[in-house]
Amino acid sequence: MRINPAVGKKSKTYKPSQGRNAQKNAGHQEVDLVPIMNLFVTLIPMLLSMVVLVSIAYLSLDLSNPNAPGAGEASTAKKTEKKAPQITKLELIINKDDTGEIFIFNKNGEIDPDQPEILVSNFHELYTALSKYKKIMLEDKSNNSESSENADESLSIIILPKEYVRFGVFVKTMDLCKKMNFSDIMISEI
Amino acid sequence: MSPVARRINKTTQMSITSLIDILTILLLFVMVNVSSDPDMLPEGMELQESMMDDEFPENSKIISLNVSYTGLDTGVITYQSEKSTEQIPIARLEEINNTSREVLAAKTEALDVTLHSILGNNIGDTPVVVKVKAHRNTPFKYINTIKTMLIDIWNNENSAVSVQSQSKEFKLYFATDFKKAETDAYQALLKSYGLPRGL
Repeated sequence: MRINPAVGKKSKTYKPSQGRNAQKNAGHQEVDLVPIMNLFVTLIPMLLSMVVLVSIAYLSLDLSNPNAPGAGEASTAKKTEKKAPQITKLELIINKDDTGEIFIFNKNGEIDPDQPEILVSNFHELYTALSKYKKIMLEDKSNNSESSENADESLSIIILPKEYVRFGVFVKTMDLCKKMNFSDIMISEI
Repeated sequence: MSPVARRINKTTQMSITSLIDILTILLLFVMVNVSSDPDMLPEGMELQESMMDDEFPENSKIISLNVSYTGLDTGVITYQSEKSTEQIPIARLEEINNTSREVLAAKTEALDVTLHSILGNNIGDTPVVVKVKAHRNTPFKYINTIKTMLIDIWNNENSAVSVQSQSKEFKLYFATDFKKAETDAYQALLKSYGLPRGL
């Protein structure tokens, strides 16, 4: 390399053979990603194995015994009845046979002849049936109370599952009843 | 070096920058979603899907029970420690199936002692919550037996739990596979229930 006295800077001369080595030296500037790759390959399977895919929630269950002496009876005697309620006690029996679970409605202690049995495979029909009973119960509430504002809060249903009913079907039934604003959901034995 | 050889040399170096990008995104996603909650399910347990999520009473003492059903009236009830995922066996399902009153009373007594050791002394009027995780195919009668055993413990004034606890009530909660609203799984559940859309 020469110094041009007129300019005072180094001036490049044409050296074609130096170009070969220049390319080799410039290639080592790239960051080495292998260690971080090793870290990722270890971290990701570890975190994937820890990830929770099912988000668990909890459904509460009312354990009050509907057959307890005086349960639900004392308050009705005080009221001056304007109209006899059509439903005083609603029970949902979950039976099980070879085909699966069957839902049967008990109205006022007797099987409701107007409501056919519902198969678990037609679970959506349970909503229609519950809606029908809910409507009647709300009508009863509004007929027998001064204000119907809180009528929805005291809708009660007793679920009576047979012993070999699958727990999942029971929870699903309870879930539907809760979603339909049945506030007092009780379980009992047949 | 011939032009052909030079071309081959250029393609031998693999660019892993895009791979690093993907791994970084995956790492961030997984780190955000990872849960350190010890409330895990026992292996192979399938919960029933649900739309409801009830909250526990504040400052409650929580006990976790697992019912692992292995079919043909066999299985085991275990207690899950809150601090670890260790499962401590309480009773086998075949032992409480159609058993005599005396045997069930003995099992209830054993459960009472276990619950007492979990709850500790002088719990006062702190509400007690019992969380039950059970496989969706578990026959209901076992859940009912657990319920009966717990009621017996709380109603028996001489039980170890009752002596230490002033609270005469406990709450029983059942674990479910919770589906959040506005998800496809929630909509599918809504449809299977027959509930109108948008509820």
